[in-house]
Amino acid sequence: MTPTDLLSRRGFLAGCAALATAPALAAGPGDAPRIASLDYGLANTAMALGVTPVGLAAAAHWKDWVVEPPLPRSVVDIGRDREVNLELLASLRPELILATPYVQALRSRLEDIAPVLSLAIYTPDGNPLERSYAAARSLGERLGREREARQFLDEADAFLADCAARVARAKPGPALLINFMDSRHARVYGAQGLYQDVLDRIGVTNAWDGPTTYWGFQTIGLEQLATKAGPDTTIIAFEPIPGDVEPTLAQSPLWTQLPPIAEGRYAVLPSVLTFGTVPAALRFAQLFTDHVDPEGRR
Amino acid sequence: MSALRSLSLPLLALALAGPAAALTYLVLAPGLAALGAPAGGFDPARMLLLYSDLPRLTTALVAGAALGLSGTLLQQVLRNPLASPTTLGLSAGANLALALATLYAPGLYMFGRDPVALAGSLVAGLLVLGLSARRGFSPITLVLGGLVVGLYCGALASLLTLLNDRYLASLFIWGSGSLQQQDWSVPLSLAPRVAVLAVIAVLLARPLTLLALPDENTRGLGLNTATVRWGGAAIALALAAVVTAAVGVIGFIGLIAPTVARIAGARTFAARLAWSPLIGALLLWFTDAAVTVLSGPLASFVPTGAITAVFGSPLLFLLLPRLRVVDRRPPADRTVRTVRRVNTPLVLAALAAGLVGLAVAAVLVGRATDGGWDAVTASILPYVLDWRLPRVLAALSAGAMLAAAGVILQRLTANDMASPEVIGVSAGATMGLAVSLVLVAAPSVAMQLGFSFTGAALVLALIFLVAGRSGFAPERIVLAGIALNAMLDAFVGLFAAAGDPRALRLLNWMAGSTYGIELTPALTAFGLSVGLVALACLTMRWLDILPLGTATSQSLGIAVKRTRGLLFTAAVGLTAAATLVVGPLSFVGLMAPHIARELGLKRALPQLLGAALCGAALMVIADFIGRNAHFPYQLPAGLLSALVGAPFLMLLLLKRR
Amino acid sequence: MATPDISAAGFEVRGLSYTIDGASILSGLDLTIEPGSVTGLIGHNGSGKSTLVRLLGRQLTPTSGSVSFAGTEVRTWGERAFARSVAYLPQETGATVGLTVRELVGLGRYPWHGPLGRFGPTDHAKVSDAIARCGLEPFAERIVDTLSGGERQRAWIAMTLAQDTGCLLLDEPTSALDIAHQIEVLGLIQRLCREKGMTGVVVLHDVNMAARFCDNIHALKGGRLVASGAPAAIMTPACLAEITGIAMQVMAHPTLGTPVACPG
Repeated sequence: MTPTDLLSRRGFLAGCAALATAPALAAGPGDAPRIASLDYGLANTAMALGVTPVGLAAAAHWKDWVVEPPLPRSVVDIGRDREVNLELLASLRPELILATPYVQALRSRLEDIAPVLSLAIYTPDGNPLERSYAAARSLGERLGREREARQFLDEADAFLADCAARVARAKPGPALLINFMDSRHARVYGAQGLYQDVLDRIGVTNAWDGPTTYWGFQTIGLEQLATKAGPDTTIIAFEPIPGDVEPTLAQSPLWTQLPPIAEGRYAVLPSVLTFGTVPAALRFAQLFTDHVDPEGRR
Repeated sequence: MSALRSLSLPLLALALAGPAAALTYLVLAPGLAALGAPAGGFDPARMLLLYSDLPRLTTALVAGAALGLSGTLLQQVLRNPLASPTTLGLSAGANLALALATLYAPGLYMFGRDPVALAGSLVAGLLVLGLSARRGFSPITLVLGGLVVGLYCGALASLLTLLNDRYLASLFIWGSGSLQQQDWSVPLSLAPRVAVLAVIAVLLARPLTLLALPDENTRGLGLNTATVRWGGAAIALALAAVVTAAVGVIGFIGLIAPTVARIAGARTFAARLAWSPLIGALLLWFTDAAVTVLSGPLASFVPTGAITAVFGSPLLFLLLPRLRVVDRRPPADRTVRTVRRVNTPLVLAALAAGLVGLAVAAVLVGRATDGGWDAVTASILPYVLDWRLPRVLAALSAGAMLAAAGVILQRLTANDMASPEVIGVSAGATMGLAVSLVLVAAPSVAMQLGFSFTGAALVLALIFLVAGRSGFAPERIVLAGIALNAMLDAFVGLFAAAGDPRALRLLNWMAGSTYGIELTPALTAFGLSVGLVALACLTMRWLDILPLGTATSQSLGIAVKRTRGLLFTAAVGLTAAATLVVGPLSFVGLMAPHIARELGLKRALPQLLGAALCGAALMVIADFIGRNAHFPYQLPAGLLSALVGAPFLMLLLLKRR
Repeated sequence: MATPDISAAGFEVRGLSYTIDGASILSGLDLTIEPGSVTGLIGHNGSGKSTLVRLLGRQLTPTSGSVSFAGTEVRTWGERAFARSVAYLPQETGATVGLTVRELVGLGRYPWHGPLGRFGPTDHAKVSDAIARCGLEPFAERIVDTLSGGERQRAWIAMTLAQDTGCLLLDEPTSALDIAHQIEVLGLIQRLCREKGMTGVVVLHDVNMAARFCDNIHALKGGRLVASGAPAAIMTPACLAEITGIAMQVMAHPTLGTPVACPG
């Protein structure tokens, strides 16, 4: 099952995007502000509010890391986020540039081209989901899409509440969320991460209670999962998975006898933008909930 | 080190094994307790002991022994106390191969990582051995070859990583050598391979012992030197490759173990063959146990290989004086009977005109927004000037300064292989920047310059201490540079594998991108380069005389120590300023002086001016390519010029002697 | 800068000792280098003769005792002032990569023009003169590296000559040369010192060469002076036995008449 199948068949996001784009189209093409984004997450949010960026950093890799919604072909790739092509960016004549403090060094040069809206999602203070909500509101305000933003966030709340209800019925155990680095190492997601905030909202315990960086992950040896994987824990791995990982793990008793693996509570889900915003949170919530409650899919 | 001499080998082994065992007990205790109780279901403590801790311990012992053996063999067959899998670029080669496979052919991993890594180390190893075979495996050529291949692989890998920064962590984990295990597959596949190779090594012990004698003697004793040498080298290479493929790059154990064995009294080759693997095994065991115990409280991911590299690379400095360097006279170039007359002012004028033309073209010509080529029209000229001019100016200034530093260093050390990049002054400057990043969250430009100057100056002082005693034997100075570059790599590896966001900034610095430079700093850099190069020109008479040797210089009335100090300070200033712009790897400081000389500019002043112009032009070209080749993505100018510079250094190496 | 009278100045060595890492190389040496003459320093390997010439040329600093040139202790001289008075040619000369003979000889003018001074007509004249005196005119534009050993050594001597000093110190200038070139180079040194009234000090390995080309000879052994004097005084079986430690015979050169020694 490819991610596209999963979401095109059903899915809140598609509907939400359609909803959000409708008024923009209705108001005429001249109404949509020209924006450029240096960050996938902010671009993702803007699209949810019905504004498709004219330029996006590393647009070429969107399909691998963000997946949904698909990026229109009209979006111009403006280069790597830390070194966007200023000439190309300027030629797109954006009215607003979306950035994060991560590319703070570029700010003054970006401001030569257009006003910059810098929104912090991942900070040492945590709460990325709350910050993503705030970012969506700020964006809505700035783009003249307050109504859409309110509507989007209300929908998001409703969707998360729906997920929480489904999760409450399915009663899954604690979850371990990982990305494989190679056949011996992984990133595990925990405190201060977007996934953590979503798990909190939908009422799932994160089995990883160890330390994390302020981006909300920690690099570990896979054996470190052993002490965290209790008898009712579910392990969720996200794509992409390097080619040699699964054959190697199949031969590791430590992995195969790990209760979640031995008892089939292991799943590989499509890629989600790890350091994303509200749309990524919803995508994660949907993928996770659909996994623990497959009958509840609508 | 001298304290070790009084220890007998068994005592030394015991001294290593004791603490290692104590640390290991700390790690294993819960699992051992669980082993006693009857197992019911999945007991994490028991499973971790059986499938993680014990395989990890075994892997450390086997890998350490294999690396120790590999180092011993390499040192014997190459008659070189500095030879080891790390110093010969084997690990760097494997690292590059894995990076390439991860990004472009992940399908290859269906057969596991081993074949990919093996292929990489084999190619790098054969390249290095091939380079030095032409010179009868001359110790210097060999280690220099290793350095160059290592730097080249490193530069390429950095470029790949920068362009794919989302894969950063997984690439660096492998490059930094983690020993973490989840089953017995790694130790069980590693142990038999190492055992077979070790048996062959033992069978070859006698002929290998004879290799310590000069070739003429060994041939006289009826031994085919070449066969034994290649045989021994092949075993060593295979040992290093299987370890690297299994657990990644474990730096410097292969250098430390044989060295410690020798210092502790393993005088004969047979004794070293027995003791080095043991010491290597114990060393890696100890390091890994310490890393396991300490990484808990540190709450971050610490790969063992990065730790061995951080502690092992300074050892190179201690070893430098032990390297026998035959004092050879520079080669007499008897092919040229008469001097080729060049009209020096004409050549310089042509170079200057060429540079101006290039710079103007680099500003005015570029990729249009649709990807096609376009010359700038008047309407958008102000914007373009704002973005392109600073970069072109900065690249130009950095190139000129590095080239001037190169001329000064080459003349000062009477060594045509010297340059800020090769002898590690640039690495020192970058290390200074790295320190500033650790100490201050957002260092200002002045602070960056201060730190990078301090770093470069410290390195040069160190080189003075280490190499000065030997009268700046060219090879020693170059080797001191390897040690520094290796140390720098180790630090960056440590940062990056832990997923620290600062790693990306450091990597950006090392890559030498002109992207972030604005007009004012660029103009400052330009002024600085013109001023410093002009100042350097005032030293032309010294630069002409100093290559004639200390005695001659002194008898001509030059206060040699003071003059050298002044010139070194000039070189440090030039390098520190330039490194801020184009990073430590550009190799412009090596290439430009040679190009100037090939153009017939042989005296100090014309060479200095010519090199500065050529260096500036090289960087302008590199920057132009970087801005336009992968449009709209930007490639860093420093790395691009390194991709040309490293093979250039290799060529130079082949031409020598 | 006061330049003492250097025309035909000589060296005074008093109580000179030099030790390195506790090993004594020279101890309590007293000797005089006569102005305007060619003096040979001879002795075994390790006798201290090279150390002595390097102490004279200020390449080393004495552990104790003093070396004076023209009545002034050498360490009190300024760098360039000393270089205008005393030229020193080391045994191992450095790289001359890419330099022509004329360019190399020109570098000898550094003590006169300094780091920033103009290379003037006097400098050009002195360089041409040095090249001419050493018979290097045909090679003047050749790259030094492409010359034969004897030619190259002559180029280096021409460089010291361009220094325009009253005194020339040469450390084993013939060690890398074959016999024909040894005669050529030593003859050149002898002739130059006579023509220009310079003081020459030459470290030599071979007693016979010293006897043939030097006016005075100082013989060292184990860091001490064992004999001093004109060649005729040194070239006696008794004296040579003391210097070399083996029995030597002395005879007259069949054509030159100078004394020649051989073991036996």
